[in-house]
Amino acid sequence: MSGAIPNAALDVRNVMWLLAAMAFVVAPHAFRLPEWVGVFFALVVAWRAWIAWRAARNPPRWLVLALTFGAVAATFFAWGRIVGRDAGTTLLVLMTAMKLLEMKTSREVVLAIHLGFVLVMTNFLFSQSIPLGIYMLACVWLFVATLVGYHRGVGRTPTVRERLVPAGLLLVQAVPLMLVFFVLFPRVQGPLWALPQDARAGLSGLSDSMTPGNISQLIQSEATAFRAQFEGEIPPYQLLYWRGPVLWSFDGRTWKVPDFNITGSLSYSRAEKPVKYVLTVEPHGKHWLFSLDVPATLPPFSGIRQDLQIRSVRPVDVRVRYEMTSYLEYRYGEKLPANFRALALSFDERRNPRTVALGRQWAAESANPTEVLNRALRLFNTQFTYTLEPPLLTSENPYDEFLFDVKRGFCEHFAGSFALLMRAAGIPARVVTGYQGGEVNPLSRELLVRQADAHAWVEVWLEERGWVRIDPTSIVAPNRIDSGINAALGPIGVIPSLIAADRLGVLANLRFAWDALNSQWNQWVLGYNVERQRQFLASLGLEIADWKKLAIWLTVATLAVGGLVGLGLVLRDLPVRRDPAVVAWERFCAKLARAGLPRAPHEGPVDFLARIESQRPEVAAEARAIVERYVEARYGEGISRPESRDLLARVRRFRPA
Amino acid sequence: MLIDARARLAPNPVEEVVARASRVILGKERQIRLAMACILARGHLLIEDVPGVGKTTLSQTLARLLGLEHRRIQFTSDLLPADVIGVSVFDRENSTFRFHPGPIFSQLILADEINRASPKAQSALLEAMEEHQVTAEGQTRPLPEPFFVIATQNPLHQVGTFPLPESQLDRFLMRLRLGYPDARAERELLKGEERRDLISHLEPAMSAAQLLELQRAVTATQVSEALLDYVQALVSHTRVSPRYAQGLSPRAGLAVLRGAQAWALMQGRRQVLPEDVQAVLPAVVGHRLHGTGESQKGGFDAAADLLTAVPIP
Repeated sequence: MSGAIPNAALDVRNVMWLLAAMAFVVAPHAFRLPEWVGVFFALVVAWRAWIAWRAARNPPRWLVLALTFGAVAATFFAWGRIVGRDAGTTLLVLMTAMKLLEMKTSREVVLAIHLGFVLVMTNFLFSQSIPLGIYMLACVWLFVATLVGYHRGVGRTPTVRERLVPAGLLLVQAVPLMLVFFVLFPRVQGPLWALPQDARAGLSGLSDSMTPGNISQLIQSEATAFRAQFEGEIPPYQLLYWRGPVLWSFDGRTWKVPDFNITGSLSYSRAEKPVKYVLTVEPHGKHWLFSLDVPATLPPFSGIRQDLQIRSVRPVDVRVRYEMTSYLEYRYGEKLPANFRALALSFDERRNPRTVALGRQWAAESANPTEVLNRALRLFNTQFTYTLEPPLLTSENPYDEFLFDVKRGFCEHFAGSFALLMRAAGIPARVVTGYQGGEVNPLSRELLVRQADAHAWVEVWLEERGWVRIDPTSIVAPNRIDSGINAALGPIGVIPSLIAADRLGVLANLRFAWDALNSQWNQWVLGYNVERQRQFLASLGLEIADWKKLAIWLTVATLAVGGLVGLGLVLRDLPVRRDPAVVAWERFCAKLARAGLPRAPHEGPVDFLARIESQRPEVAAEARAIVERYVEARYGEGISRPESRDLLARVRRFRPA
Repeated sequence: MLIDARARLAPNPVEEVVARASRVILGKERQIRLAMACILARGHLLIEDVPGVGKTTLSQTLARLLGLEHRRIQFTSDLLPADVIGVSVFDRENSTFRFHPGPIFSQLILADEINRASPKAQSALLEAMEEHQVTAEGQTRPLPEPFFVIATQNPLHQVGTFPLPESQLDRFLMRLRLGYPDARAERELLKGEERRDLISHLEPAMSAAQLLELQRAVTATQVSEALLDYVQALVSHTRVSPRYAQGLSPRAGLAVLRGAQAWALMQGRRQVLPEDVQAVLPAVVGHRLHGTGESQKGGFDAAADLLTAVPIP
């Protein structure tokens, strides 16, 4: 021992528990922050463990100070700032490491444990999924167990069981209060915490442009794009075109959402009865909202463009849920204004010359646009192959390269080249991106649309018919449209290939159950917003208008829960029915204690009587009568009810000086 | 009244035994009473102390006063089990083996210096104590009623001793220590008659039948739920507290209760009180408890700690 002060809190095992809990809570961050943060933290934890194990000295103050400045500087160089979600979390992780290193007193240990709780919270800035929630709950349990260990004091260090069981009981006791706070805590519109801007980084989804190659990246993603719950039957698979950004502008390589912003209307001819459904869209950071082609209503706080694309007023930074109505059979855009017509026909003459020439040739040889369309579809049907991994199109004329040389591609290649051919042939055309199909969860009857279902198709404008959807991909790979991406390509990624291999469907069912659970979690836990809170409380019969009333209810409920728990604890310590003789005896002893003659806890009644007789002879006779009755009641054959009343009365009259 | 500690059962042969024994062993009334309680509770008694403080005198005095047929076995390192139990000898007249019962076939055995004998001889005696019968040459023979062993032993650190294993210590209901007499008693002892002569002149103060009757009265004393709570609290404290190497066994709990019952009867009471438990507890659990930790307290201290640590419920 090199002069270390024996300290219960800094007992080796207690420190090891703290370090283990810290390692657990920081582990998920190691994958999100730069590698050196995780490595540095691991090194410091190992160093601190060595100090505890060998009872070595903590590092000198100047070294800790230097490392602290170094950590701040490194954070700044890594992120360009020291605030914000990523930089802030980096800094917190590094400072926690420093705290562990210089930890010497019990107070610092408790501080480190509280830092651990803050680190738990920072994890939720990155993800709020169920697995992370469970993992963080385990971390909280570990920290509480560590805290339990510190408060056991000197002596035997508690066993694993002696730590985990009380810690678990503490957490269980906190559950009622947690529920009260979850249900009643006033919600604010939007995300509960004002998340820093960079918390939105890395959201996946469609973009407002399309270049050959960028959708196929999305296809690799198993992430959920949105969920749809239909009222009644789910429409046939090949009609599930989820409309997203509509791309008009074309520069020879990239299709883009045009800059104009012309409000459209929902007036168009429609047929058949509408389809009603509720969409829950995962945050994607952009303005557009999805609907089945074509929308008949608008979600709140949104508008529609002339090309039937729904735009939200605010970027979709949080999960949004809205009700929609769509018509699957429709006719719209019979009249095409000249400026739109010009835009839908424009292309760069100098790029993709062979494609342009082919389009023009078709136009010259055909009697009407329908014939052009048929020629194009025949071309795609006979010569092209659908693949997720097409060769990169690097030349200045990517669509020439695709149409005449490579002839293998993906929806974006087909849609882009088809639209260009149409424009060259003088038929107004545009590219629509969005999602196609989805997966029905048989357990919740929900349609789950993943990023992998991203799709692009074409709309051409025909005289007297308006805008007509043409999906060249369906010509090349009918499977893609009829039964989804996996049917067209075979399973993609690890999970789908496992599912494909699982003939009994166990995995598929598990995945469906998991997805249904996630959906409930999203709707009821993460999506418990102002509106839901009001609905839920209304269903309980509480009409709560504003947060002030809510705060009052929160206080009342907290006090009620606390009171009930307290009452439960008090009642637990009380015997169900108290023996009147014991009550009398305790009063008797209390009176004597006030008179300066306390009974030792282990002192028997006769021994106590002997002491009373020698020290308080003036009350000896009365004390003897009481003791005799008490002894008979408690250790003899018991006394009758009048006798016990008599005993109580005697104790009441008993007045030791 | 019922809790008047001085009011005795009248006529009370137990008080007579105590009074007469106190004239032989001076200044040790408490030990004599505990020894009597042990006998009334049908338990075997172990007296442990350094040589010369009157262990053998006490056991011989009790044997005479109780009016029991008694034999003394001096345990030595060469004692054989047959010396205790008995041996079959060939009878030439009948051409058969005839069993000659050993000293164990008595109502009261005085086993002197039990820890000087080899474990083999010890176990012969200790088995008889537990079973109240002996098995020799394939035949089981019952021992007389009542049957007691009063054993004496030297403290374990003395030369030439075989310590009794814990399982055998457990068979003794109580273990007593006599300790040195106080100055007044010692002076009287020095002035007075030879102890041996005193013992030889002692007349029995009770009969074996009276003793059996008193033993039955012990089991008839009133044990309330509250008292059982107390005994259980004491026992369970030794099991959960880190201060004891090992908790008390259920047999030990039963021994505490029997001892307390006998003590209550000797106090002339029908019901057993916590005080009775406290009076016998050190003698009953002293040889069954070992303290842990830095103190490494001996059994008697550990028992005294136990009393103050557990409140009366």
